[in-house]
Amino acid sequence: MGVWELIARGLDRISFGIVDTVVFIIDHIKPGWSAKNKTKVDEWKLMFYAFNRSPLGVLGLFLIIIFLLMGIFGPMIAPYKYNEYPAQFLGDLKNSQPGAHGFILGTEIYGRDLFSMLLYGARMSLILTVLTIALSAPIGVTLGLISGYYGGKIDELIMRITDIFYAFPGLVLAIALAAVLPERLRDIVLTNDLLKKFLLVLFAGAERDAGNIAPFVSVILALVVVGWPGYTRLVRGVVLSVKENVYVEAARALGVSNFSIIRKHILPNVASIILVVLTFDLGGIVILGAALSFLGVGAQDPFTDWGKLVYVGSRFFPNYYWLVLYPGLTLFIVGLGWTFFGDAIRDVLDPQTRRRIEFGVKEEVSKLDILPSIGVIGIFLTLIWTGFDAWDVLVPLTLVVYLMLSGIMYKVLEIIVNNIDLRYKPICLVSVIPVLWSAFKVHLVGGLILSGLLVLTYIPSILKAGGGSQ
Amino acid sequence: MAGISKYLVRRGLTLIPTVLGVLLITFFIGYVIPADPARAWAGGEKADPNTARELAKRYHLDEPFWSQFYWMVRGLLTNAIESPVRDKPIFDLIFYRLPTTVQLALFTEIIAVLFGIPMGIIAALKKDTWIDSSIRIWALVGTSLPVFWFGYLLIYVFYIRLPWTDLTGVPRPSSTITGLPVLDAIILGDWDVFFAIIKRFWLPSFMLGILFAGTIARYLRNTLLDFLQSETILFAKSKGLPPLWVWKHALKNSLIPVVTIIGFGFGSLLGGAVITETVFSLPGLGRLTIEAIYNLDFPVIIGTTLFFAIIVVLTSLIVDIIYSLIDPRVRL
Amino acid sequence: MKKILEIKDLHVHFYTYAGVVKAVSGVNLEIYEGETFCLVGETGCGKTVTSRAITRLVPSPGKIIKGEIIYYKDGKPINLLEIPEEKLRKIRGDEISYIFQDPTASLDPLYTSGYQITETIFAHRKVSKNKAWREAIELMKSVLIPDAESRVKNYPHELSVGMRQRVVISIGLANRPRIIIADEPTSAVDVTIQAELLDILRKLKDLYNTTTILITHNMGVVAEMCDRVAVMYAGRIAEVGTVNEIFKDPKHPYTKGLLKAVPNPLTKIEKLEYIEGSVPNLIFPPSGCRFHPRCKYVMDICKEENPPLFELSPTRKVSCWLYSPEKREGG
Repeated sequence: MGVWELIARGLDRISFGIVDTVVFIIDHIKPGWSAKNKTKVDEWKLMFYAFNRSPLGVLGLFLIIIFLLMGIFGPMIAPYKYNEYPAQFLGDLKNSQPGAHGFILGTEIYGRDLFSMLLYGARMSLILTVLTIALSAPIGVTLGLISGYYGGKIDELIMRITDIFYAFPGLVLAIALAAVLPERLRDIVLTNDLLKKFLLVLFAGAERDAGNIAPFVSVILALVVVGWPGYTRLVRGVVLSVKENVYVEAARALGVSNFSIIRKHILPNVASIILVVLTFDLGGIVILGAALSFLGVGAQDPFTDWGKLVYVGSRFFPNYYWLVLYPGLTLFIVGLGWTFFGDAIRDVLDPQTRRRIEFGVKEEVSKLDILPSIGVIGIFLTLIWTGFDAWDVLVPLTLVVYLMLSGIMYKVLEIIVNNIDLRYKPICLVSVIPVLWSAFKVHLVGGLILSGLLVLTYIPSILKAGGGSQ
Repeated sequence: MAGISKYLVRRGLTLIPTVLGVLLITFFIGYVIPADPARAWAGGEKADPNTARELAKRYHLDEPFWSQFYWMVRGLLTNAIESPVRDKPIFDLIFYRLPTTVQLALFTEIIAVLFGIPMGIIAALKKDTWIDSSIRIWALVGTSLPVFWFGYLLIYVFYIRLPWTDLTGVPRPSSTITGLPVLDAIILGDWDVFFAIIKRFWLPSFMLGILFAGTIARYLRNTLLDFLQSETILFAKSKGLPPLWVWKHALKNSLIPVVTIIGFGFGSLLGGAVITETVFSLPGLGRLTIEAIYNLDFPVIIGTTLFFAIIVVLTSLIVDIIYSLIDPRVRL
Repeated sequence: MKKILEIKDLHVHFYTYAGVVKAVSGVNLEIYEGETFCLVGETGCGKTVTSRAITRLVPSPGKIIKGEIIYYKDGKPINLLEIPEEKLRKIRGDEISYIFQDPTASLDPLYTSGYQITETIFAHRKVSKNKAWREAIELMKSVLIPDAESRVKNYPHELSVGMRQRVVISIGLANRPRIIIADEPTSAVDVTIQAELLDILRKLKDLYNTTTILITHNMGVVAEMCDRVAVMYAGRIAEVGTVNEIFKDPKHPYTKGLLKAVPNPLTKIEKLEYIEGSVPNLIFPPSGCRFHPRCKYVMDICKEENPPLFELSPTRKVSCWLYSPEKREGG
């Protein structure tokens, strides 16, 4: 754990430094601010402290930064432009393997460098996500604020509308819109010069491909339509609970304008939940956008994003596996980054979860707990090594179910028998007997290894139970 | 039980504006957005002008919007709208593909609940150990894993390397009783077909299910842990109840919000089904939608979008009813 | 008078993100069979934690660091902090039971009141279902719940707050416990119901000679219900004595301040005063006697060493350097 602690402390210094700088600037503009808001500043530092100590959050942040760098600088540093087809003249070798002919990750079906396409894909995803959120979040939040604060008929109306949009499964609605809009939008984009230039710069596109940018706009609009209800519902919920607070009533009684009340009292509470939802949404839109491209309604030739690469490459799966593997993998990693980051932020901002964070009384992850995981991984590797084909289907299936449930079986037995000094779990062992029997029947050495690994998964519980009462 | 029927009626009434709104949006998508609906319906830019004119007359596409809307609703109710591409009424197409999607969703939900709830309980019991962390990571992976990518990987392992699944067609039993092939197969005792169905569906359902299970597990774990700190559990413990009885209180209270998640997850399952059906070549509603988009078959697009929405609305109604059955505070 | 419970040098710490909260630091108490013993103090002084620690019900992130809790059963001492969980479970609800402050939070909203009462019965005795339910109805009648036969099938949200608390009391009494620990049992209800509930508790105590440990911050309740009182401050016992002794002749400076700050039914005071300063931070508590920053009579030794509980008489103990043997003898 030493490495993480070092990283956390380094991050502490950076983040506290940022906080201090910001406070310094604010103090410059509004003198005396830092003294009055000392607790708030301390809270911020505590939040950073908590976040820095979450390995998943830090990892997520790292991945996000890479994504942002790829997105912003990708098209500039890519070895080949998106509309360059270097491998076009290689004939059959159009889909060359990773490493061949100097293409790091191989080429895709039109002869473009896959690695460059991944970088361009990052730009597409980034712009798509930013533009979508820039439109859907303000709309959704504003509607939520109005709906929650003013209540009554307005609330009913807005909630009805939200319900209607919620009734459509997100992807289905997005697909339908993304399919239907491009026709209308194409003309708008082509005739509106400013819009065209704006989009071309954002998507790093060339002038002659301008006609094919319209689908992107449709995707953005589709995602906005699908995305805003989420914000509205959530914000409305928070507003409703904050509205009940006495200080809001007091402010109203004093005649403070509605706008000020919303701004000063309600927004801060709403801010943290918006932040969490925003982070998750950012990751979700990256994947949703890619999903739309995968289904054929997103990026249109020659613009290509990760989803489209998988769409096109799926036809050649698994022979030209790199066409599907690398774009999907990149997408997965980026999505993971956002999700990890969002989860860590939620933990940090949610006062309830913060209460649950314990200091120093963490249950020790003893070395005993690592043994079962080694056992489990080993079992799967053994099964693969001996060759799945040779086994009955039931054998690995039972093993998987057994391993997943064995934690429960132990606990249930422990509770039923009510004796914490249980030294063996004989009933659990019984379920493994048919598995082992077929194992030996099929592959002697494999069966032996398997039994050994199963014992490995048992050792910790036997040792722990025998070690004394709880 | 009179309370339930009154409740159903009341809930049903609130459905009407929602359904109306859904119809409006569908109408918007199919009739309003396309610049020239007749031409769009006839195939877009490459449309035959004669076909376009015929369609315009048949579906009243030249008339003012409110008239178009009226004819759309009427056409939907009488199944008079046909797919220009396949020359079949859209609801015929939809209902033929429906069992596949429903089975996919059903199997997925079963797997998700079967794995998710025990995982959630284990994560709560073994809080802060490697098990808890892995379940948390699994839940996060589940939300960020691109299904269309993972599906191909799984196909590689379980179809190309191992003959554990099928990727073609959908087995159906000889006769239709309930409309759901898997149930019909059981009723008819048609075990070959039953196992064939399982072989076909297990991989996509397992994939979606196990990912969804992660989310369920994480939510259940958090709710359980919160509730275990509550005064209710403290009081139960102070009564000297055996641990299993205390757990009963904790579980029952924690499962209630989880039911809502499971129910509403169904809606997004349907969305995810679109991708899954494409990857695994399942001829269900999702695939129908995609093909319709590819062929610019507007009537089918309208039909499937509408249908999906209705399913979601019904699901939320069912979830509400189940909720009122479990939670005495909500009973009417 | 026989001892029934003895707490020796109890320390409970809470491990929070902000630091280690030393909620209870060295509590010593003796409780005798049949008496009503009150534990008083402000919010946050550790009285609730102490009461929960008696049967190891301290929730995480709390941990009982050290101490002994001796429970005398049939003359034999049992250290409740060391016996196995299963044995302790049998004592909970059967010989030592609890009544908590908020009945709405205590009762499970998904189960009927009758179910929750019979649950306690079934947990400790082998009784037929019919007999248990009849017992439950009788219990509800004894706590003055009207129309018990139909109320027993009600869910908590269908009962008023006062009735819910009565259900909680009947759960606490279901197995005729030897000790009842009531943690602010009347704070959640209004004054008229408060009087009724206290009445019920008193009558039942007379009937079954139950030892009652009453936790409260309401001096009026103390005066009405208790035989002996212990005053707690910042995780430690300030003084112990009979009700009369404490009210008529408070010794510890904190107790004196406390009694001057609340309307006192036993002594007439002209004007209410407050105690200077505020409750200490228990993560970084003051050194020595924890009350010294607010004490009018503070001496040098108070800042260095925490005073032990000096015994002024068999019933009277004070933890204050003003009453050390040297001080009492000398000047």
